[in-house]
Amino acid sequence: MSAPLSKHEMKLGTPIPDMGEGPISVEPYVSPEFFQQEKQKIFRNAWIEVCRDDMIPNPGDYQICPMEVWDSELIVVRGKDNQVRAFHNICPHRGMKVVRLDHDESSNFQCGHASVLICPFHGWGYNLDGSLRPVMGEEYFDKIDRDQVGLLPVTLDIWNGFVFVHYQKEPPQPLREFLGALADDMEEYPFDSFTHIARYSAQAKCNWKASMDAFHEAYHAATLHGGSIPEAARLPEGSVPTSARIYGPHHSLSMWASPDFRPSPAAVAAWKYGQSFSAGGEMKLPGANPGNDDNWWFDINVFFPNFFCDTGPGWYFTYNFRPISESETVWVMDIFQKKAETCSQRIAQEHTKVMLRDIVYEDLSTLEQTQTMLSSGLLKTLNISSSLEVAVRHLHATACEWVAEQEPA
Amino acid sequence: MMERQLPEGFEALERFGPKWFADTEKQRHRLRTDSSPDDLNDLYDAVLERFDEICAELDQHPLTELSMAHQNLLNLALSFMEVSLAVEAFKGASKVPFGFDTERWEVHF
Repeated sequence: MSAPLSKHEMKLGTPIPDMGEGPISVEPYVSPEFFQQEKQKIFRNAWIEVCRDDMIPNPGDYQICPMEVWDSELIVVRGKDNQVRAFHNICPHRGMKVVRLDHDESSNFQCGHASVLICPFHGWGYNLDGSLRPVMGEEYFDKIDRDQVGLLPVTLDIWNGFVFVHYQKEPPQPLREFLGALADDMEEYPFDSFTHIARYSAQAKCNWKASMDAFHEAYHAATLHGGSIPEAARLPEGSVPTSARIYGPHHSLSMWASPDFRPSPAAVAAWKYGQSFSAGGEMKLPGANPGNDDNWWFDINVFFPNFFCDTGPGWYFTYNFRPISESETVWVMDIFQKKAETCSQRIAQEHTKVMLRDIVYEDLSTLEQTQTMLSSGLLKTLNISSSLEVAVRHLHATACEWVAEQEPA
Repeated sequence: MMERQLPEGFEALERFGPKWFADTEKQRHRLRTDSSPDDLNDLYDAVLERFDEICAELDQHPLTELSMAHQNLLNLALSFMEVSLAVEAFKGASKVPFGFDTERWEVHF
């Protein structure tokens, strides 16, 4: 008889709140009624990340940000005064979208540049601060009150280059207070010295929380990624975060890389000339590895409700999970890396992209199959670990708490 | 005289062009998912063997001012990275085994 595996300790960087014990309810992943409550009580009460401000570096640059969970779409635009503002993409004349993108743009970045935003229906134009310009045929209208008629503004604030919006005109908490101690931990990470090297997206028929749950535990790695990241397959360490922190609704985990890891030839080639996602980075960056853990690989940082910002040694990546319904989610991944100065660094960068992308193909493969079976009603509860899957329990508990306790906005 | 596809000394790799000299990740990823395991292994082996030489040649030139031949060589090295996991981790499978549907997965760059 073989001896049981020794229990690998996960350090706790914060107290872990009471989140209940035992199995968790399936209902929040499948119920249309619960989703309607989440739309009102979570997504209209929390700050939502939509893009980075350096994606719109110059006055007149704008980004279109779909916001299905508000039944809206936003224009995030840099004004002539360099101020970044957000507006609902709706013309107060007749309700048309003011900015529409041609197919090429919408399939790529959904961004553009304009000195004036002009509605394609009747030509009503708006300055970059949202104010209405002279209207064609204005003499045929009753007096247009320019204090009342302009683009509908959306509350916006920026932390470390990340643009967040809030549904309410006067949010219950300012952004920085909402981001709390997780942002304290990450404050010094040099986000502004990185360049955007990749974006991937997909729409999956899966609940937004069940989708996120595929990305904030390492327990699945030994099985699901056994082929793509064999270093993760060493049990039990590869399945247990080295440390975990819970900060109000947000949480953070540090991931472990096996010191016995033997990189593949392509990973060796990448590390010789630049940085790769493959374990082996020694670049020490402030704002990462807050527990100073040994054999650190990267941190998984999750800002409630739906934004990941995972920081590593020379690269970081983000996920936005945009809920469409209780059983459908748009997932967007952006990868950032230190700017390549040479051709060989550029080649190394490609390894980060390709490795992350192929691994995430595996992660996404579970979403729709899980949701299909959860929707069957066969299971009422799920049997999760309180340590290995602490983030799954925390997201579930936080969503349930906000639905029970927050006022609809 | 026809313009050289790759810098001098890399003629043996010209057989991978123009297909694997594609400019964008979106194009290279499509090529990879449409290729046979033999094609992927062939590309992987040929570029890995010359990888250090390729980097040494390319690093004599600024990244943003490459000649057509050098840009082709850079893109070929990027294609090597594109297929690397397919060869090293997935036994030559052009798509990630049991992975999410590539037709519903958008590569934006």
